[in-house]
Amino acid sequence: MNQARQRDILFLAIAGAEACWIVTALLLLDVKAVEGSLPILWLLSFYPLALIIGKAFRYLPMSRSPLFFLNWTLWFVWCLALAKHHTAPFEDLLEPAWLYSFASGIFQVSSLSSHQLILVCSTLLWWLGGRLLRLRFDFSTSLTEFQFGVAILLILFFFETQWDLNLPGLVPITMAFFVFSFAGTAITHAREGAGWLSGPFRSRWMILLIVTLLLILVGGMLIGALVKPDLLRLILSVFTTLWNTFWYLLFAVLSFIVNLFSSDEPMKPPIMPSMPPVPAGPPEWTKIFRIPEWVRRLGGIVMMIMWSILILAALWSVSSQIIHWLRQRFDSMNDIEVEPMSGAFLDDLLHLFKGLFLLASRFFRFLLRPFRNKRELRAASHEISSIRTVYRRMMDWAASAGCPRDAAQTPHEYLQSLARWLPEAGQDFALITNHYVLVRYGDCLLNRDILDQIKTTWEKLRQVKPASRGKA
Amino acid sequence: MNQKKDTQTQAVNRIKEKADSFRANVSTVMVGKGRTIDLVFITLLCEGHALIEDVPGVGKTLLAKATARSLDCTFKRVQCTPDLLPSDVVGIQFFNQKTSEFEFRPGPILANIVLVDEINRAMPRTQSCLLESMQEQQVTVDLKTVPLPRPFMLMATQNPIELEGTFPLPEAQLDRFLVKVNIGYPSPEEEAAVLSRFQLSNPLDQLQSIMGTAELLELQTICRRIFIENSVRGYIVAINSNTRNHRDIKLGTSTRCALALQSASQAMAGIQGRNYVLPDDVKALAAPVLSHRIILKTEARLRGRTEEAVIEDILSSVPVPAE
Repeated sequence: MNQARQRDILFLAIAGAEACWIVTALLLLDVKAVEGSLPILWLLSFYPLALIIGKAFRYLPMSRSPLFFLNWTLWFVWCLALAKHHTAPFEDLLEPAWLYSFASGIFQVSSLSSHQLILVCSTLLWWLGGRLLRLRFDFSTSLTEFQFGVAILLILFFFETQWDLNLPGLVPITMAFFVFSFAGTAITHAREGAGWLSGPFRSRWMILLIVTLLLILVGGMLIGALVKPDLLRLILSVFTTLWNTFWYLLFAVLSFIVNLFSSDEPMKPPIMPSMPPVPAGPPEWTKIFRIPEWVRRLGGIVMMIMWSILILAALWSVSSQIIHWLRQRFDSMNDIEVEPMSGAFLDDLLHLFKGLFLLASRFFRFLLRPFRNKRELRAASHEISSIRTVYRRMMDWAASAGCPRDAAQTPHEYLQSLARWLPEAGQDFALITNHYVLVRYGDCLLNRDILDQIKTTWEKLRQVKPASRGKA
Repeated sequence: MNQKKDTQTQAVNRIKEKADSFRANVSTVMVGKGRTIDLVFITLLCEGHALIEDVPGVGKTLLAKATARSLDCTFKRVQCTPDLLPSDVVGIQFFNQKTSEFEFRPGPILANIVLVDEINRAMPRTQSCLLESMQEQQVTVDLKTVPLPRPFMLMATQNPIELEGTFPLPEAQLDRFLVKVNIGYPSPEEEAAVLSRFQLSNPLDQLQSIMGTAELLELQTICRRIFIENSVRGYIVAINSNTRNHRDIKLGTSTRCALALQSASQAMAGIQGRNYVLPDDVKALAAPVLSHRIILKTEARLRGRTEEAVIEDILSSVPVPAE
């Protein structure tokens, strides 16, 4: 089977496995949360659509930001189409009533509405569809997808059993999930050229598998033992209370802020019988002396800056006087050497501002991190795993051909053994080993050209038949 | 991030340049002892202390003097004898009759590089007065604590053969030495080169300093920033803990030893111009850093086992972190 075909099958396998637990989750939400009013098929369409659009975007000569914007615009359009179909399928598209109805459904506070679920689920499915394009189809990914899917399905089945929902088609969905997952795992494993029973990591994978299964079983048993319908009801009621409290507080704060902006009309004081008549407002001609609002605000800012400067100057002056007094005191003592510290306070102040600025910039960098470094980190981790895989395969290959690495040998010591064992390939061994060492111990990244060169070297190296040689 | 790495690489290249200069400089008097000279430079970079142990006449004192000459810093020498007192080393408070006040007269320990010659000839109480200065880089005289100048390095020599009238160094003292350096006899060619160089004059007098104290302090800071990957750190810990379980070892190494091995490995990477530590660095330095810190069992000694052989045994049993 060629590489492209394998990739297509893997694509289908992982997408199928994900679709299985997505369908189960949507069915559960549909029955339990909104009593069957969720358009499941429409929602599911977001998943492949995001995938197709993401694929198509790869051929567009545009940078990341416009593509990102365009992608989520298309989600919005498709979401509006779903809203129209769901809210008022037979009404005119230009009639705004369906839009109002959908918007009011989203902002409904009292209970969970199907509109809120549509918004959340469509966003998640759109993201999942796009994520599928960025996945690396290898053994670890398929295994992770399987583990994650099993965990999600177990949780969903648990809720389904506890609530006696009798969801339709659970058995075929589960079987399909396992078929897709096992197909993906088997293909990726075969593709990477290592066997479960013959590879050097056999014991590690077996332990991993057993530990994973044990964890899932123990987790399931614990959840089964601890979580009862009463507890679930309690948790749900707590969530509802928190949700209502949040909205109550939000409205309270908003109304408070609105009250701060009083109306332009001056409030009329209550007329007391004994009070003299309220004087009339200032004469019309005095309006020319009124200070505009923006000037007053600007004046406030200038005053604030001036006060800050004055406070800082006062602090500086007081500190200088204290230091001056200390110096005088120390000068009169014999064993004390007074170091001149001219400008120390200013330095400390600048140091403080610099620290504050650095703190703020770190905070903003942390906030922007998901948008900035994701791609680089992904590429970096891919490169690191690639060079480590190549080195591991080279070791396996050399071990099977008669030059195994001793566990106490460093990569450079092993390189010497390899060079003695197969002198004609010494440079190839050195190239792979040196770059492996750089990545493994040096926290360095390789560029794409070097990575390709290493892969080519490895492909060349594995063609060599050293079977006739003895052990190094 | 790349810019930061480039800056770090440039800084590490400075360490390599200085290490090469230092090796070339000291090699004019110490022929063919590149590894020994590197160990001394590593000790300098780690703010550690070196114990030079070998038979008489192979250049122990010469190495210490050449090191001091190569650095533009203060150098003092203490010749240890059984009647040497702690006050002879750290200094004294004396009554100045002119000013009618007590004054502190610093001892030879208050220098950047201190050569303590034949340290095992000093009495234990004199040896112990070095403990504070070696670990905390300060001395206390009559309740007055005086910080030592930075950088501070103590180079002690001892003769392992002539043991009459000597006092073996206690474990606490040995643990404070970063490395133990064995110089060894030169080869015939090297010996001939030494004879030739020393025929007319002592080349030690012509040695030039290659860097000052400020630069050395800067290099020490750079050295501490050299990257060490977690698994390499785990390798150091594994070696260290193996010394505590080995069948031939009565007393294994301390946590201070693991710290010493880590910083020495960083320095080793630095003098090779690398800004990351390899397991090879750890292996190369295991014997000089560990050998004086372990105590072998008597039966192991009777079987002819040496500390270096036991460490080699440990290194061949601890797995190196690789794929």
